[in-house]
Amino acid sequence: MVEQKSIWGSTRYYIKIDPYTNVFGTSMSGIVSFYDTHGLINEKECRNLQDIVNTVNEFWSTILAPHETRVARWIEEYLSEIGIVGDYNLLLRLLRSDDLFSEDLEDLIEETKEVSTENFEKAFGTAEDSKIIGHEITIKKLPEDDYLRDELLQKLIEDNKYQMPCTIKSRIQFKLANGEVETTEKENPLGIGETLKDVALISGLKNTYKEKLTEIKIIDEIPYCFAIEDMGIEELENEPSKEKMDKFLEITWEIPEIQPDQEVLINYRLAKRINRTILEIIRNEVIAVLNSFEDITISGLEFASNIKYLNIHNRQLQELHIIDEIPPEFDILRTNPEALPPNAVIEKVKLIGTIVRWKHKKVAADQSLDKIYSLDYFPFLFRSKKIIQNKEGKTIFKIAKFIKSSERDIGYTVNYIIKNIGGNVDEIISIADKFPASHAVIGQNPENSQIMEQLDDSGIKIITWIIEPPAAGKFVLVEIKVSGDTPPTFEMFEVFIGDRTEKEVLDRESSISRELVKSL
Amino acid sequence: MTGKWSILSADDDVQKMIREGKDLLANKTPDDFLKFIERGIKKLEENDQFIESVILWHFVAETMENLDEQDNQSYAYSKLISRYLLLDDLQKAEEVFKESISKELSGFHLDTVRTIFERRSETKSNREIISIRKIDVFGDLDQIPASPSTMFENVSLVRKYVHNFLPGGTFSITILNHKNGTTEELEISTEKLVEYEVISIQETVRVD
Repeated sequence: MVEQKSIWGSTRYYIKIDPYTNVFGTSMSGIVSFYDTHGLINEKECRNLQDIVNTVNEFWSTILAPHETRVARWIEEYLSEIGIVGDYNLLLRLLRSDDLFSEDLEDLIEETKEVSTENFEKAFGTAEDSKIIGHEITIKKLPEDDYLRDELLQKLIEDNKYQMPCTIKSRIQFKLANGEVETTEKENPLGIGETLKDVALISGLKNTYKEKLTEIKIIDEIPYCFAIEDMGIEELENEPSKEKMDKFLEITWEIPEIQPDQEVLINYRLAKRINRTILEIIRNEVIAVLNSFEDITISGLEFASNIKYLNIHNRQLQELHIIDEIPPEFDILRTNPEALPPNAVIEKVKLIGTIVRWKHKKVAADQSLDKIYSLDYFPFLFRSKKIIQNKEGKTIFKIAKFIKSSERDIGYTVNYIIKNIGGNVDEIISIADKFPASHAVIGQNPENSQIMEQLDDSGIKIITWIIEPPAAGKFVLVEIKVSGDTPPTFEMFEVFIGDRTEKEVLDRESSISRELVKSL
Repeated sequence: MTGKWSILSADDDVQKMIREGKDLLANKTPDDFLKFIERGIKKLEENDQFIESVILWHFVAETMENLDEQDNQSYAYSKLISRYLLLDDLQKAEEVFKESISKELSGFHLDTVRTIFERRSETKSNREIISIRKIDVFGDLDQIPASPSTMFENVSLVRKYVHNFLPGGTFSITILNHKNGTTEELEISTEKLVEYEVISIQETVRVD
């Protein structure tokens, strides 16, 4: 628990630092708050250690004369009290420097070039549909100063780190009746998959011409940070061709024809991979930075990723840094070898995710350094809300569904809440929701709630809650306990009011993000 | 060395810095100018020369006002209030405090220092809760009765009140500051918050 600590030389002013990470370093971010005996005076969210140090110094020097060495000592002592080993010299340096040494570091880099990575792919056992992106960086020399050296390596990692895209590019080509070939491009957004592990992507083409389109080619550029679990075009048995490009896997679909107003949709089920960045100091002036993408597979009731590394250079590496970014949906249960300081740290960044940093010195030629991660879902909350409008466009009900993660062997709970907005509706409301067929309702609250379970023709379980509408402005809710040893599905429910059904979706928004929400 | 000489030389330092600062402004940005002056002030303050510091911060405040650099002007005002407080000159601190309000200046540092000043000078501000609305799961706001005429000295006391006297939930609180006639909205949760990976879907549908 982070506590406030009095400023040295003052009995009525206090500062509290709440870091987002448990690892000391220049990228450490967090909140700095300033108090007096009455309570909070002000607080600031700081984006890095420099910002934290400056904010503490600013608060300090509003009530006392500036004193950098005391401030640095105070911060070091504070961090130590919350279990973080700080570095007094670095803190003092940050307090004394206006801007870091970014410009000087830039000057040290002579050249960055892309390099072929086939040998690495073979040695690391890279998946068939994945690739390693490689850069070789020539620098003037490694700085002798430890702090500058670390900063330079950190900068090279940051500069060459893989950036996750938010949309996927699709290139489309087709022929018109007059023989003319048209090409177009679009960016398709990534959507929420059926389970927490999946990412949904829909690509395709709608024929808006008044004539038939022929010889259609749809080329989707799937980045290597995603594994393709499943893909296909509805009602069309069509196998695409795949080609590995530098930054993405190119999936090409060939469709003979599309009639006017017809739409062809290509559905992808993607899975996030672990983004790995490897930095190898090959010689004093030559550094390699590699990006690889590692599959996460189901292993019993958990998930696992087994990642290989081999030093394929015919020489000893001075230093090797491996940075694994675990997708935010997952939490690390354990690692093998164990990630223990000073050679490895698991950095949990609040509201962002987990990063594991490994550092090895003097890595011999042909030495292998494999890592195994055992993972589980990060505590999740699925929240879907539906605003129900009548045909006049007036909102009559708001309905929400929440799924909370719980112990795997117990299953999970689903809450439905109905709020009457519009007033005088007295028809029965039914909420129908899809569940995996092997899941079963084992409890409900209130106990007399009317819950029905049935299997539809395609083997999907439908659970329906039937209820009289609440009075205007009031709520009615039910909690259902479901047992099942697989994850729940994340889908929107369907609403029926009397014999009226959903006719049109007027608006839809979806997102995945880390949030601080009420403890459940 | 006599006291007279040291004052004269400090005075010289200040005059020199003002001259150099003015030269710097001719071909550098206001931020470069501020950085230069601040470096000089830091050295002066390390030797407890707060009067010189105040002279220079007045010079910065005036310069930034002329350049219409409101953020930097607010920063200079925050420094002036805190330096007058360090010098125990409450009267001067209040003068600058009032001036900063009449000039409608605001900023992170200025807010910090104004709060310190208010508490130090015991000129309690009169913040009153004029509306409490509970936020439900749909993000809708339900009005619940507020207790008028309860005055709070500062926002953290409002937070304390909400945590102690309101039931579990998330609230949107509107506060009227009688001192300057402004209102502010605060969102406060009285429940324990935990980090979750939230998958969220919202749809508007037509049913008929």
